[in-house]
Amino acid sequence: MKRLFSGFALLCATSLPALAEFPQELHKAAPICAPLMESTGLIETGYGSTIEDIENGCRLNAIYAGFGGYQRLRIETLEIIAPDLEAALLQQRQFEEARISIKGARISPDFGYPLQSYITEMQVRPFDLDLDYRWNADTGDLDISQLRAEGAVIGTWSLSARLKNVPDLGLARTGAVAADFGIETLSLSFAERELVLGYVLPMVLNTLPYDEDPAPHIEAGIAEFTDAIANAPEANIGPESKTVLADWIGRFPNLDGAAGTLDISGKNGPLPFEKLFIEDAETFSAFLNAAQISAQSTP
Amino acid sequence: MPRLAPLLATTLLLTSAPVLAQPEPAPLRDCRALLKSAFNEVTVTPETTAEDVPGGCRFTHVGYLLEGMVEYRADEVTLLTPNLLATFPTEEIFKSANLSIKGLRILPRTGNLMSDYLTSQYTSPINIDLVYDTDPEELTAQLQRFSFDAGDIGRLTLSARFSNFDNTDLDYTGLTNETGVIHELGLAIEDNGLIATYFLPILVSGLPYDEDPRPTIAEQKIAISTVIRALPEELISMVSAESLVRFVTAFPLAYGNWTLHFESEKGLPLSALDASSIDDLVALFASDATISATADYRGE
Repeated sequence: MKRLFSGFALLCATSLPALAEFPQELHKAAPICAPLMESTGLIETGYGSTIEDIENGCRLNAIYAGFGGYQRLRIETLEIIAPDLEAALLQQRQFEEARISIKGARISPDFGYPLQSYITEMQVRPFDLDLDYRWNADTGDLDISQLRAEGAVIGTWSLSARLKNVPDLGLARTGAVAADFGIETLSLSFAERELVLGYVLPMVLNTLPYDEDPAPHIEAGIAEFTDAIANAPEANIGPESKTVLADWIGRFPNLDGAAGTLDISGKNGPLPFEKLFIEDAETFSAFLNAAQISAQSTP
Repeated sequence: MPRLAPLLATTLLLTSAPVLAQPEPAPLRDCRALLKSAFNEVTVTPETTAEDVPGGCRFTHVGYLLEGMVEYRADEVTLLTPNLLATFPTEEIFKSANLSIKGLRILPRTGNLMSDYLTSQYTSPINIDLVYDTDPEELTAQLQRFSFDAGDIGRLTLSARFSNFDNTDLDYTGLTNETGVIHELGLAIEDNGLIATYFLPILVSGLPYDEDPRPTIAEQKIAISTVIRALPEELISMVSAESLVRFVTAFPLAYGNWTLHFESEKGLPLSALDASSIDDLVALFASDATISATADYRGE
């Protein structure tokens, strides 16, 4: 799980060498956005791709985004609106204020076989993702007013959060500043279909022995996690929330139909972000001991 | 591999090895004996049951292992056909049958437990029905219903009527060698991902693997749509033609309900389906042929 968050941080902060230069016609059509997006090394264009310069931002259609391999998405429309778009991308840091909208995203594994990638894209259901946040570079306050993912298969997931001491991730990547930010509040509401099955399960399996049946490992893991919930201080998580959380974990990886809200905050001050790096029952217990948690199931 | 499921079901029923001149085997005692006689082909579990039902047999928790790599496992298989217990050991073809397969899952048996577990989590059960009857003397056949129901992602049903259909000669050696004539064909598709999952891989399998197929598919859509719109009004109405074009342009994400009906008393030889182009195929349609189609496209 730690790798997941590390990957997320890298996604925010890291710039990779360009995959391939964009065609000249895209540069002509979007003289600001094309070179900026090309320089991130995260965007790949192809048949039908378009790029537009729009007010305070960029709009891209029919593109690929990601790191290659399994970590690549086919995206029908990506729109980024950020007043400091150019400066942030050049400095390889997060935007101070941004609205990022992704429509029609599909998993598109890239192993050098475009035909197979296309078949996979057509066989998975797309999802949309919207992110709206504001970051104060002086105070380090990060206010995520909305991070919402929705699709026929992944269900609906909506998160809002306030984080403290969030540094310039470009500088944090170089080690020039510490990345010891914390969560003041985090609220997640969801109506799950198969997000866990499709995206979380493969990551969990990745941590298990590849040549053994994973089912007993998963059952053992569920038992350990539910024990951790039972043993968590009631001051941190009440009995009803314990029941709800244990029920969600007990249904892993098939949570189709599960819905609810999860509110997390720190016990005494912001919850250190690293407490979310849950890899096993031990780190899960550490998280439960450090956080104030409320979980509610909705029918 | 999931795309083989309907083919497998059809093949299991319709195809049999050539029977050499041998003494007629004795009828089987009951459905348990039938299952036992098929043990070299059918996989069973401790939960497997075999039950005699009026007109045939019902089995639960049975499977078929294809080349040791993929197992087709069904919750329930019911086969109704006249004289099943007497016909089965002769390996003759059933003149008529009603086959129902419920909860069919296609499970890889790669030997890698992790991979098999992961794939099994994503496999949805399929229900298959196949109902047909043939008249060997009249050389006619009716596919009353073939349905392939993949649950959330959709279903397909097919019906057809044939003449000059020799059900003792079902070894497939290419469409050009087929002697049957099709007089009626009905197809209904309720697509919610079914086409992309089961048919797209087959249809694009001939395209270069190292190129994005989108440009080729886009060209083909234009070419096929142009041909459809040029079909004579006597063969297909403008409304039906536009319904077909809607399907073609929506492919492979043709989410919605679609129907197609072909009819011709003079018939269309099955070998015509081997025509090298749609134009050539259309030229082989009899003068009394009619095609109708409906479209209810709802988008993704």
